[in-house]
Amino acid sequence: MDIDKDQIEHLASLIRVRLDVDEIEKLGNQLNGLVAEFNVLQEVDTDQVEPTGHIADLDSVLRPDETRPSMTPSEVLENAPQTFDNFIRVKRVIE
Amino acid sequence: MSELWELDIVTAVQGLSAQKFSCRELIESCFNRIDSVENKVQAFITVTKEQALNQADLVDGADKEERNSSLLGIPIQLKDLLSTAGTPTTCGSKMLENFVPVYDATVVAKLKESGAISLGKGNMDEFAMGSSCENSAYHPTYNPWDLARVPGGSSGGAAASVASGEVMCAIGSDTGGSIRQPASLCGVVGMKPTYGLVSRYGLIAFASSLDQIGPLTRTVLDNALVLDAIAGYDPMDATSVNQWYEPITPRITGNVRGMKLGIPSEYFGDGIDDSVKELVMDAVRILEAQGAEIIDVSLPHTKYALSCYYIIAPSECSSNLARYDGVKYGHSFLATDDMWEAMESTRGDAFGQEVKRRMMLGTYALSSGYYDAYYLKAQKVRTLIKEEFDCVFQEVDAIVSPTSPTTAFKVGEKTDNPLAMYLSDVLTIPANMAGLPGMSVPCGFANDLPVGLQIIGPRFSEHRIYDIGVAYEKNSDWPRLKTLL
Repeated sequence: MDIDKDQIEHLASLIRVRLDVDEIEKLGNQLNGLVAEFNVLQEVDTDQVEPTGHIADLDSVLRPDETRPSMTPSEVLENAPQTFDNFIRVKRVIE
Repeated sequence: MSELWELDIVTAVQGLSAQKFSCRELIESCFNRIDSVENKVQAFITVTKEQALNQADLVDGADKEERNSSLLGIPIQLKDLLSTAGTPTTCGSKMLENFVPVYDATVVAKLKESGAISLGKGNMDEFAMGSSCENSAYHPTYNPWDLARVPGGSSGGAAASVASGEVMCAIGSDTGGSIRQPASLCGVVGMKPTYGLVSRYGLIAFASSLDQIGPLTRTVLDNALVLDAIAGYDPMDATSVNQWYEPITPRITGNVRGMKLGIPSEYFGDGIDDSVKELVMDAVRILEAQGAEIIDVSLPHTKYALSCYYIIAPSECSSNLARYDGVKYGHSFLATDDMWEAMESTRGDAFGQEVKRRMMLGTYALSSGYYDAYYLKAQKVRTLIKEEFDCVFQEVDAIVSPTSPTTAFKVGEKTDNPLAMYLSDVLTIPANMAGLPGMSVPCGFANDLPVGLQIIGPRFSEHRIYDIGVAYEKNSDWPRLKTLL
């Protein structure tokens, strides 16, 4: 099934990226080509196979619940586009 | 006499230690080289000359007992996705154009401890997504062996800087081949270690279950020396393997007698250039002549690895790159009061085409209605790929194959065809899927362009991979340095 223009726009909204008209068309064509290629996976029998999310054989990695030094507020804010006192300034979230 | 920038690391360490030359002379020699070739190769995004020369003077002024660090005074380049406190770290993206980290990646800190001197940050495909270095938001990098061709990617700046003699080592990262493929295309040695061997703390994430940091150098021994400096457990990376790291360099013998090397037929099939296959088989015969036993093996799920990877890696990236919202750091679209408009414009303006493509693809594979058919399916096929390797490694000690299906391609040749570009990594991706170490070693030239031999081993078998690399290297004599540029 083809990914249509509406779906491309929906995906763009999910990833919060503004796309222009040309990008929507180009990405649509490319995505359809790639997904068609990926359908080759459907021929593999995976009925009895567990998924692998991570290759490292690790259980939950825990550390002691101890206080320790962290970055200073000025370090944390050093790359913030907009600040106010010791805070990051953000756009209005709730009307 | 050859210039100081032409030395390999082992020779340079000895020369510095015996005070045949000063560290400043060595570092200045590399900067002279950078001055004369960088306008052609363009391997750097940021050059940190003043810092490097200051460090060189510190090395020269150090007492003798302070001079035993393994890489003391050695000029290196760091891929621009490794956080460097006080030095811009762009990840090849407009998104992080003005980003200056406040802390060092663990790898960067370890290299400082070992005495290495960074000459600057290496060019790369944006967020490490690409196989040609053409996706850098700043400029492409060119292949030192033919400036009309790409150096490979995403660690293209790393490979080109080492091959052109600007530095003796560059640190890259490899998610689906981003160290090995450019190493192959530029004729240098590139190692992607076992997943979990090198800390990823401070590495800007692309696909966290696949990313791994490793060195690019001109010789195999140099490579092991650098890996020894950066490997080991780090509590700051939860996927770092908590076991004692035994240095590899002292254990390298270069002896392959009795070693069983598997030749997977799937890595020599359609789409692999005949000239590449021939040079790789020549290398296999050299290893055989030294006592290695050559065994045909089969990894039938190899043909699914590419599709599997291009579902899993974009899925992970679509999640990892959600953090670039224009609020905490990075590019920010300020000309609106609307939160969503700001975020969408920030991301729309500052991400390049390949990054957008992969986030879209990953989000599609993860979205409701498609998750089972794509993401979950790919994770299951990943299990089969891993198990298949486990099975083959009961029979052989390592697998040898070409690193890249072709030699370096022309600049612009594949930029409009994502699938053709993705196929560049068809032989390197499987090792990432299974978390295995893999190295590319130069094994000759086809039409004057370098070809790489890939050696893949079981997890934590880097020492054996280096043995194979050394065994081949000492019986071959391919140039690693493009001196005339």
